[in-house]
Amino acid sequence: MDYTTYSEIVKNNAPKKHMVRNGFLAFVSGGLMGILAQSLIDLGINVLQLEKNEAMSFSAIVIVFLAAVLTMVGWYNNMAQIVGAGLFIPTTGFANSMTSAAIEGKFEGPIFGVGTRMFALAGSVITYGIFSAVILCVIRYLLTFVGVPL
Amino acid sequence: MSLTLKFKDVYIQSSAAVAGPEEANGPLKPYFDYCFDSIYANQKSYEEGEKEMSKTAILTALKKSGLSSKDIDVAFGGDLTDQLAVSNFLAKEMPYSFIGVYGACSTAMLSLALAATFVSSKCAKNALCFSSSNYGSAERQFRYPTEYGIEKKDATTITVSGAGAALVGTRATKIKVVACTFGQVHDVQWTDVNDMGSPMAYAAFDTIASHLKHSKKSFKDYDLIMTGDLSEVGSKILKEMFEKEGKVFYNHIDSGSLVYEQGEKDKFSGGSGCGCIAITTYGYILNKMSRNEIKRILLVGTGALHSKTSVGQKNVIPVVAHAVELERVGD
Repeated sequence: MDYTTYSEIVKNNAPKKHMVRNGFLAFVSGGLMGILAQSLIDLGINVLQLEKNEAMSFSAIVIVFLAAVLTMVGWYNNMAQIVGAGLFIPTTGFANSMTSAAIEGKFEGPIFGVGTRMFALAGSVITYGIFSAVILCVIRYLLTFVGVPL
Repeated sequence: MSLTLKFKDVYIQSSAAVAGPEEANGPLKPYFDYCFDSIYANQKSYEEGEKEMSKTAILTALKKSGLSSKDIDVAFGGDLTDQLAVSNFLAKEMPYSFIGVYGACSTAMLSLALAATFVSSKCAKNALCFSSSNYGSAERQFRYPTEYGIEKKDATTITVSGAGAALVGTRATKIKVVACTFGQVHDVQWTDVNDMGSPMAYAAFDTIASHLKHSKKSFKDYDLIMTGDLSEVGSKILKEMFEKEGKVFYNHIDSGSLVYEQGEKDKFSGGSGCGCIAITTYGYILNKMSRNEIKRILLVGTGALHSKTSVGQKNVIPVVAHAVELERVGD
């Protein structure tokens, strides 16, 4: 069979993408994540009497911890299958990428297994996170020359 | 042009299928010789677990045949891990020659075809063939860690955890290996690793068409034509390809659609991997044949021959399919 006919058949049978459903679920779950994070910050400030900066760190730590625990018990990937970007984009996605890789790194031991493999997926986020921070800082610094105060 | 070989006096002496926990929950459970309740199979890593499953399958097949390891001349086997680590490490324990083969998910049929070729050409009296896959080891190598939370597409297939082994020899039994076709490797400019059924359908089409042409047969000569792991998407494409040629492919089934309960959401588009067609054939199909429920079958193992490096370098996914024809004789 020639390639064009085959490609045509493949095209007709391509599974549907659920963009509207996925977008909606990610929007709602992402929003809920935001509410959870904000509630944790409010809890830190009002109940634990933390400074605003400390409360923000407290919120991030709790969320990362929760994502790690959910990964460990094997619930995280099932939840992520449903809500997608709602869990992937927040810090939860970062925490999960490290913990899930660390779990399987144990086969190769603590150094070349857990230690190395942990960053297999998260490494990119760290590299470009730092890289973009440097670029933004330079831009911010250059802006002082046109009169924008630091 | 693919090569089709017709065999003389080659019979399946015995076979065994060993499955993991998810597969044991599926409809084929009664046909498996042994089921493990974890993909670790009581070992420390996924790879060791896969090896254990393969070993269990081989030992069970040997025991069923009544032969001892001294009677085996050569073994053909493979799996999905880098450098066939699972099969090569298992071969350390084998007191006979071992030839590792890699055909991705088509390995089960490739190893069976090679074993039959050796027996038919009198290079070996008894040859062993086996293949295995494990959800953990395959996922870890080709995709992401098993607990990584990423949204899988509908066309995704789930690697079957399991192993199958068969002994092929000259002693006449009810199940005869009639012929095989070694497929060509095709490039259909496909790059999506989340849907490998679509490109593999092309290879399956070519191998089936070649096999039918060379053996001067048509669909009606078979009770069943079973492909390896085309997924729901690939199966539809394959059927439509034959329809375009004016043939109704009425007796097709995909082994990936047999291993798990139909419509199970977390199984997406069905099962895949070397273990998929291996446990289906060596467990379910051969059982059906020995009970005379299937007389003649064409088994088509399909494989996507990419590596993590080739995918990382945005390369295409080459595909292949190998076919083996079995027939019930002596009735």
